[in-house]
Amino acid sequence: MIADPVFVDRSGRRRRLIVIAGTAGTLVLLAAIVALLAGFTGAGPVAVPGWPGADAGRPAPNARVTTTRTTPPPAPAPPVATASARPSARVSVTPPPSSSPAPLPSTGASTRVKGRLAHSPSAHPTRKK
Amino acid sequence: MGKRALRREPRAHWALLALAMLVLLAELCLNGYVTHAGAESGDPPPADGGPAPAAVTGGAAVQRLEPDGRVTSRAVPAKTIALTFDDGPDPVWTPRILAVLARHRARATFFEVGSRVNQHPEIARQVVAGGNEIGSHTFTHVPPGTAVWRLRLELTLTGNAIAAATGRQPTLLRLPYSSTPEALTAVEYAEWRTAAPGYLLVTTDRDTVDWQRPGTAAIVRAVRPGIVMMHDSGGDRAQTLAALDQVIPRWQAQGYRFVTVSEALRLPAAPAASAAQRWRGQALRLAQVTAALLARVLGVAMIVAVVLGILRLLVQLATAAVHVRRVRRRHRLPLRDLGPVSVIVPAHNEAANIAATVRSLIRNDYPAIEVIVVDDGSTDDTAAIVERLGLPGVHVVRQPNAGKPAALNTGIRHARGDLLILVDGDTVLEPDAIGRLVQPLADSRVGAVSGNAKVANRAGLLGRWQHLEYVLGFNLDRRMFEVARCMPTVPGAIGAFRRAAVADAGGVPGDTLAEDTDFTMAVQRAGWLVDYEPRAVAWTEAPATLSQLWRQRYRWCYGTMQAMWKHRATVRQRGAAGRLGRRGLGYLLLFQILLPLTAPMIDIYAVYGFLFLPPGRTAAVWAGFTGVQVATAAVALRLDRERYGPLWSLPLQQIVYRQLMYLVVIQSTVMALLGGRLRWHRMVRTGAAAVRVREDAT
Repeated sequence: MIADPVFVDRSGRRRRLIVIAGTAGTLVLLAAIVALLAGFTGAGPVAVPGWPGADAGRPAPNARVTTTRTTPPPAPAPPVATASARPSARVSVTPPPSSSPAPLPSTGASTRVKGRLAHSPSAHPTRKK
Repeated sequence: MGKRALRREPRAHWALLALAMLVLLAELCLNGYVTHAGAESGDPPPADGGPAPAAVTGGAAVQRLEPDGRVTSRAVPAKTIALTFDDGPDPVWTPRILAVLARHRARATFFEVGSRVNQHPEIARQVVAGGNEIGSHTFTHVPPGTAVWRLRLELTLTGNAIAAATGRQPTLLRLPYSSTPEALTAVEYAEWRTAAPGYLLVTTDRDTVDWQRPGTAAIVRAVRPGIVMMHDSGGDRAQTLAALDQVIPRWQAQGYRFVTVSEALRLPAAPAASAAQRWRGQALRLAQVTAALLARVLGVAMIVAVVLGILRLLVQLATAAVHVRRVRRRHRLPLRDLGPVSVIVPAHNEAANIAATVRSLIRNDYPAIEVIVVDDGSTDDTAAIVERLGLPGVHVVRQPNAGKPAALNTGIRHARGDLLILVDGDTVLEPDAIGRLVQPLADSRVGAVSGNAKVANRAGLLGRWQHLEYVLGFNLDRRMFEVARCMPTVPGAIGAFRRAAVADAGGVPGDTLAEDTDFTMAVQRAGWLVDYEPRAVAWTEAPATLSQLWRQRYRWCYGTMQAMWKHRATVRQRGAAGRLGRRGLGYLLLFQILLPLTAPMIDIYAVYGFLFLPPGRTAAVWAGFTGVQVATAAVALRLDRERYGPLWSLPLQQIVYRQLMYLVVIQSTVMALLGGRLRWHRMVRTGAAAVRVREDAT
């Protein structure tokens, strides 16, 4: 009686099993790669949603256009605090004044302006950790 | 037998291994990025490029980048306070803050760090369930001055994480380290503009600086109408919590509302995230959680490996000390003549070495030596070379090629002595080696003795590495095995056997590729002791190229696995066999199979440590490893009276040699699992001859 060497499986069943397991492992790993890459894809909000009652529009320094707007600037925006429930009606942009900041209608804003003026423009206020 | 065609050696497992290591490295890098990036303490880098443009610094707290490039801003209306909490979610403090808010029917905005959302998605959900809003605070709390691509990536990741946790896509952004609009720097403005133009930038009107823990009273004082910045993470937030409990009812009594930023500005709530984005977020969270788990498991595995290594070293040092005393006693006795000794040299195409081998044998100082060279169907001049030597006491037996086990059995059949010495055809013995080697056989309980094989060609890195490996393997491992009575291998290069032990083992078995290991195990199972004699020195030629080394080790490793499997029943047996099974096979399983199989992961972890862990710690661990290794090798060299010179090459084993050693184990494991027939199996033409000889021998 001649024995096969240890581990030799002449039926090939173990081989098939291992091949299946290996293939499954490969698929799992590929899925892991896809999952890993997928998490890194996507985009943020393209444009912010409605911006009713924009109360301070200022041109960015390197913006191409500062004044070419089709809609004429309407009457000064009402204070936001008294705004009605239909914000879309109040969408307005104040044209940027040439020198001083536009008067800001809300309470919060006015206190903020005071706060800002209290600082010298070059000195940065406290920054959190 | 052997009718099934030999398949080509499989290669797919290498691709699988490479893929697995790639995924592992990627996961570890993700974990390293999440846990170590942005974890720097102290102030953000000072490179802020000066203040942002006046339109930004002079704007209100919530700013929007219009499609035409202008910046518009809005403040929250009067009688409104928009509390904001940065850096969460935190498993301890966020729920407490939510409870306080709920108690006072207040809502707030939470600017959450994406990686923490992935860690505590249920808390993010809790935040949203309480009517609160979640904004983005980047993925790892990156400081200003971060590259635009990275910030964009951070925001994408955070958006996905929040989408997966809450089902909503964040549209509000607060840049880490930002504060009031006038504090915005040109760098921050540029980042927002280029990396996150679609987000509303939410700065603050009131920075409570609660992260500095200024005291509850100070935080209470700092809460004024407008957008208020607080924190729900990053340490003990008890002061924040206490301040909230006081300040919310106080302002509510004056008619103030506590609302989210979007509510305050009458913006629609954060839009629902697309199913795709939620899935991407889930995938990201899964990846991050898996990465953290893998890093922890590998960290533990490293510790286990180190502890095992140290334990092994301690055991080896202790057993080596025992063995040294034992051998010293043995060496004090004069060498004894134990009767005729037959030296059997199986030789297959050994023309290059056989003359030197035979001469070294016949010149040995033992009184009665008979040398039997078994030519195993050599196609070169091997047998004729020996015959031409014309040495007395040297016989040549020719047989058709039948493999080394069969050749050994043929030799054993022709041997006249009761003490048999098996020597490889490429091995040269020291003049006193045979006399030394048989001395332990004076003890009638001893069935076999292992000699001390040394690498003759020690030039070059490969030679030095193998030399060190042999010295370690013989002078620490084998001493330990003798003392523990579980010698797995008497090397084919030099070993002595008692004829009765050979008979008990049923001759040299031919169904594994490591016939020496298989044979030694069989001898021990029969109840014989196996000793190690360090002074019986044989010089052997080690593989000189990597590919030769690979072939040799592949055969050894696969053969050892075969022998272990063949003798697996010993694990449950009693007595000598049980000792071999539990100690010997256990040791081989742990240190020669399992640890090498985890070694690739350890290597990947080392790369991760190099990239992400504190360099001081990584260097210390590496130095510790190397130090222990060098010290161990130094002890072994000293025991073997060898020079310390080659020690310098030991740290270099970490590259190339170490990888070769563990890849061999992987290859062997895969082949064993597949159950295919190896090239050597066919060459060995197992069975027929071996079985016949075995019948003769018994």
